[in-house]
Amino acid sequence: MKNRKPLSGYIEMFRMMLAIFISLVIVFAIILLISEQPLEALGDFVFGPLTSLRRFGNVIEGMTPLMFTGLAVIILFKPGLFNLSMEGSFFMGMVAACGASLVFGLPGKLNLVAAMVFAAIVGGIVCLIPGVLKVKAHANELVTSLMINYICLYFGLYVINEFFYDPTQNSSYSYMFPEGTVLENIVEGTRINQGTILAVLTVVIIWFLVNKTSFGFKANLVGENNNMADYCGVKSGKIIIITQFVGGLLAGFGGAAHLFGMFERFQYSALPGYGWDGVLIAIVAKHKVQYVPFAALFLSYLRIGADIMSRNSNIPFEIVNIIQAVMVLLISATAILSGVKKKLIVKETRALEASKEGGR
Amino acid sequence: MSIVEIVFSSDFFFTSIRLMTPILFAALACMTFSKGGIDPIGTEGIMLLCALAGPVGGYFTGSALGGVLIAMAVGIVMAFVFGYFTLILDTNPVLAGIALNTFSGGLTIFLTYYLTGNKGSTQSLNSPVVPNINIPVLENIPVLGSIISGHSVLTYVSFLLVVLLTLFFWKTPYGVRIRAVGENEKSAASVGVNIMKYKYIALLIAGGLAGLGGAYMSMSYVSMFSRDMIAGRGWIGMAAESMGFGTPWRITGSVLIFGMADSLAIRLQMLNLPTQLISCIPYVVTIIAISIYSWQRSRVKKKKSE
Amino acid sequence: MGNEILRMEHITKVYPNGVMANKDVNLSVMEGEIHALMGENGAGKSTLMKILFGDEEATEGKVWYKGEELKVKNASDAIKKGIGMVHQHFMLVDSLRVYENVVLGMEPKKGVMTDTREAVRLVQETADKYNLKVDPMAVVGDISVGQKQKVEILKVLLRGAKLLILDEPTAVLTPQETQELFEQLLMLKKNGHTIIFISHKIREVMQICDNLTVLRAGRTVGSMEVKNATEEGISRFMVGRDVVLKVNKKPARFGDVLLSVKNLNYTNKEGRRLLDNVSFKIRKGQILGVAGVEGNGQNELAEAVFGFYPDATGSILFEGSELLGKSIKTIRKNGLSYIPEDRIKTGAAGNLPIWANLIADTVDSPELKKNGLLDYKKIHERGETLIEDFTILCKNDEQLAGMLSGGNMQKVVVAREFSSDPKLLIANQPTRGIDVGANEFIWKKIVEQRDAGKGVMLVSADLNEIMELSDSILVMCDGHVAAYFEDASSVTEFELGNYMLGLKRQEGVEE
Repeated sequence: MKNRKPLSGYIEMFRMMLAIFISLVIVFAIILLISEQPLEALGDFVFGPLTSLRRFGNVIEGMTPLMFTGLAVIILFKPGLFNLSMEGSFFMGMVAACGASLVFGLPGKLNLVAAMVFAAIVGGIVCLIPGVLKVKAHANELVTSLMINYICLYFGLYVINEFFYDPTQNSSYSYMFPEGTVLENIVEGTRINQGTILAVLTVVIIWFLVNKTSFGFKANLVGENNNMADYCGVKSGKIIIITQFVGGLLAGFGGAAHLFGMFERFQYSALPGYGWDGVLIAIVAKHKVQYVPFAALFLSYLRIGADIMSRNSNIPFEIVNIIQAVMVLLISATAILSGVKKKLIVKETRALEASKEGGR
Repeated sequence: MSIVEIVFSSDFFFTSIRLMTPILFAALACMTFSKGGIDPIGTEGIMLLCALAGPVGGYFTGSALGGVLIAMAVGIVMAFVFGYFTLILDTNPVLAGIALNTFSGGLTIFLTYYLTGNKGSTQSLNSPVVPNINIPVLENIPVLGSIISGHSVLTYVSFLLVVLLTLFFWKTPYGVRIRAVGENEKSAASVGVNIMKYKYIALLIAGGLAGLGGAYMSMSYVSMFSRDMIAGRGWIGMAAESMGFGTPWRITGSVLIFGMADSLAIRLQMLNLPTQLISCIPYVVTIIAISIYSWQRSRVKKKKSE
Repeated sequence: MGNEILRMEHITKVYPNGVMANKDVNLSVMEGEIHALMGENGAGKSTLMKILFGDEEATEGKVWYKGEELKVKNASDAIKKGIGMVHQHFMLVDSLRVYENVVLGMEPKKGVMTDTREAVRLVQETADKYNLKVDPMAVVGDISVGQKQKVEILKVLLRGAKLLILDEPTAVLTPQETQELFEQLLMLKKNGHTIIFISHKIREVMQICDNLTVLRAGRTVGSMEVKNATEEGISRFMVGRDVVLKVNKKPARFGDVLLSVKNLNYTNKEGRRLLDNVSFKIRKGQILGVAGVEGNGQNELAEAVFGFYPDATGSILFEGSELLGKSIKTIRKNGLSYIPEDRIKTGAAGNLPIWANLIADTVDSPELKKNGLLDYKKIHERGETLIEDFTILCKNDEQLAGMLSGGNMQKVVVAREFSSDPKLLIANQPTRGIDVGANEFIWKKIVEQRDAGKGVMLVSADLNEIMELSDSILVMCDGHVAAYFEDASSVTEFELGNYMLGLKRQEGVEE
C-alpha cells in the first residue's frame, strides 16, 4: 500500500528551498555590492566555518540554545497558540540557573543538576502564565507573552544585580558559578560541551512525547481542530496549559544549558534573542521535532559564517538577521505556489479515482 | 526628598509626557491597523527602521522636517510590505511581525555600520533634531505651564493626531468605511465598498504614524539612532491599544499610565530604589488589565446566554 | 396588479462538482405583489437568488427584469438596478451606529466630513415613511434582532430598491416582531414595492402573500395564487418526495429502554428557547428518526444528548445513569457515539492523516498502545481495516483527510464513530452533501447497527432518509415535540409535513 509520495507533497519543500535560495541571493547581492573584496567575503561566509576545528566547534556549540528554543516553539505553538514568552523563559532560565547554583551550594554535580531543574521549572512557569490567562480569562496570549518577556528581562536583571552582583567586576556580572557547576567540554580544541548532548537527548525525548504518546496526539488535534478535539472528548484547555508549561520547561532548561556550557558568570544585560530564533528553527524544521537539529545546524552555520566574514571584511554580522527575516516571510507565505499545489492535488485525485474505478 | 514630592513634581509629569509620546504614536498606529482589520504586530519592526530613517534622512536633506518625512515614507513602505505578505501572500501575521522585527533589527545595524563605520549609533552624523517649542500663553500658567509647554513639536503633533484620528474614524466616510471593512468585510462589500482600497488607506495612515513614532525616538527623545532603540515600544503600543479597546481617548489614557510608570522608574532611581523592579510595573499592570478586561467580556457573553 | 417585474426563465445551475442545484426553474413576479418562494432546505431557493444577485452564474436560462434582460456581476450591480436583498444573517457592522450602517458607502458629505445631520435626516425620513421605528443613533450591536432587520430593510430602501428579497425573515423573530414586520411589508407593498418572501412557514405565507412558487429538489413544482390555495395543498407540494434510494431492512425487534430523555430544556445565548420540554425514549434495536424543518431544535436535541450544552435542564438517563452535566469524554465512555452535522468544522481535521482522524476518540485506549506508547502498527492496522470495511477511497491511511471527497471524508467520520462499538449512535445529518454511493453505504451501516440490537437516533432534514430508515419518528417543531409515531410505516410524508410545518400538533405527546 505504501506508494510514492505525490508531487503535491513536495510543494512545501520546494517553497522552502525557494525561500532559502532567495534570501541567500539577496545576501550575496548585498555582499557583492558593498564589500571591497566580495569574493573573499563570500568565501568566508560560505566556507569559513569549515576551515578549522575551532570554527566548526563554534557551529556545533551554537546549536544548543537554538535546539532548545526551537523545540520550545514547536511545543508552545502546537495547540494553536502564539505564545512568544520563550524568549523571557530562556532568559529567566539563565537567571534562575545562576541564582540556584550560587544559593543551593550542593556538592559537585548535584548542584548542577539541581540548578538546571530549577531553571526549567522557572522557565515553565513563565510560559504557563500566558497559557493560563488564555484558557481562564481569554486574554490574548500574544500581548501577554510579549509583556512577560519584558517583565522577565527587568525582573531577571533585578535579581542578578540585587543578589548576585560581583562588585569586583566592572560590569554587572554575577559571581562565578561554584566549581563543578559547569557542563564539561567534550571535544578538545573547541567549546563543544555536554549541553549539546543534552540538547540531542531532549530532541529524542520530545520526539517521543509528540509522536508516541496520546498526549502528543491530543495536542496536535487541539491545534488542528479544537472543535473536533472537544467533541472527541479531549479537554482542550487542559492540553493547552500542559503544552505551555512543557514549552517553558524546554526554554528554561535551554537557558541553563547555554549558561553552564558557555559561561562562568551570568553576564547578559539584554534579552539574548534565542527565543525569536526558535521561531525560525521551528518553521525551517516544518514543526517536526526530528528536523530541529538540522535547522539549528543550518542557522548556526550561517551565523558562524557571517561572524567570520564580519571579522575579515566590512560586512557586519547582522546580515544574518536579514536572511532570517526573509526566510521566515517567504517560507510562511502560504499563498506562494498554493495555486500550483491545488492544481496538482486535483489532478492526482482525479487520477486516483479513475484508477480505482477502473480496478473494480 | 520624599516619594510624594518626587511623584507630584511638575518635572515628573513633564517627563511622563515626554516618555509617553513614542508609545502614543505606536498605539495610534496599532489602532489604525486594527480598525482596518490588519494585525498590528508589525508596528515594532516598522518603528525601528523608521527610527534610523529619520536621522539618516535628516542628514541627507539637511532638515529635520525632511528626516521626519522620510521616516514616514519608510514607515508606509514597510506597512505595505507587511500588508502584502499578510493580505496577499497569506503569511501568518504573527510570523510576519516577528520577521519584520528581526529584519529591521539587522538592517538598521547593517546600515548604521555602513554609513558611520560604527555599529552602535549614528552619533557621528550629527543629524538635525526636531525642536522643542514653548506654547505662548500656556507656558505662563503656573505648574501646568511647566508640564505641558516646552515639548517636542512631535509631542504636540501626537496629541493633535488623537483629535484628528477621532474625527477621521468617527466623522468622515473614509474612516467609517475603514472601520466597517475591518470589522465585517462581507457587509462592507455587500454595499459596494471596495475592501482592498480601504485596507490600503489604513496601511498608509498606520505606516505614517509608526514612522512618526520612530522619528520621535531618534530625532527628539535623543538626537541619534542607536541599536534596538524602540525597545518594545511597538509591542507596548499594541497592549495599550487593546487596553483602550479601540477609542483614541482611552488609548491615550492607557499610554499615559505607561509614560508615568516609566517616569516613576527614572525618578525612583534617585532614591536608590531598585529601578529594574519598578520598570516591571507597566508590564504587570498591562497583563492584569488585559486579563480582567478579557475575563469580564467573556463573562458578559456568558451572562447573555443564561 | 401591475405588470410582470421579474421573470426567471428555464434557470439551470450545475456546480463544478456536478451538483445540480436548479433545473429548469421558472419564476414570475408581478409588480407590487408579495410573492412567496417556498421550499425545504436544499430545494434550490438560495441558488436561484444568488443567480439573481450575480453571485453565481446560471448554466442555462435567462433573467428578465422590467422587460429587459438582466445581467449583474455582483450585489452592488443589483442594487443599482433596484434589487435589494435582506439576508437571513444580517450584513451589519456591530460597532457602527444605525444611521452609519444604513448610509455606508453612500454617505452624504459636507467637505470631507460626513454630513451627520443630513444622514440622520435621510434615515429618519425613510423610517417614518415606512413606519420602521428604529433609533438612527443607536449602536447596532446593542439593538434587538427585530430592529436589526429593520435596519437591513432601511439600507435596501435607501438605496432605491423597488424589488426587495427577504430571506426567511421571520426565522429569527418573535411572534410580535413577526406581526410588526408584516404590517411594514404591507406598507411597502402599498407604496409600490415588490417583495419576494422566502419562507417555509405556510401560515405566514397565507397571511401576507399574493402568489407563491414552490421549489423542490431544484425544480419548480408549481405556482399558484394564495387565495386559491389551502394549507394542506401547499404542504403536499412542499414535502412530496422523490424516492431515489431505498433500503432493505428486517422488521424491528425493540429491546429494553436505552435512553430516556425527560423534560429537556435549553435556551441559547440570545435568549431563544431552542428545546422546550422535550421527552422521548430510545430502545435497543430501534432507529428513532427525528424529523423537522431545519432550525426547529433537532440539531440542539442531538447535541444536548451528547453533552454539548452542560447548562441544559431536565434529565437524560442512559441505561439508568444521568448524562446531563457529564463531560463528552464520560458520555463516550458510557457507550454513546456521535456523527456531527458538520464534518469539516467538527467531524474531521483536514490537515491530519486519515489514521489520526480514525483514532481521535480512542487514542487513550490500551488497544492502541504498547508499554504506554502509541503502537503505530496497531493504529495502522485499525486504519487499514476501517478503510476497507467502510470502502474509503484513498491512497492509504497517511493521506490527509482534507484531500478526500465529501463522501469519503464522511465515511471516515462514520467509521470512527462506529469503531468504538457504541450502544447508542446519534447520527446528525449523516448523509448531507455526499454522493449516492456513500449515502447508500452509510444507511446500510446504520441498519446493521440497529439489527445488532443497538440504538440509533437519526436526525435528518431529508424526509426521504427519515422515512426509509426510521422505525419510529419524532417530529420537532419550534423546539417542542409536535408528534411521535411509534410505527414509522403508519404515517405518510404528508402527515409528517403537517406536523413539521406547525399545522398540526399531537395532544399529550409530552408524556
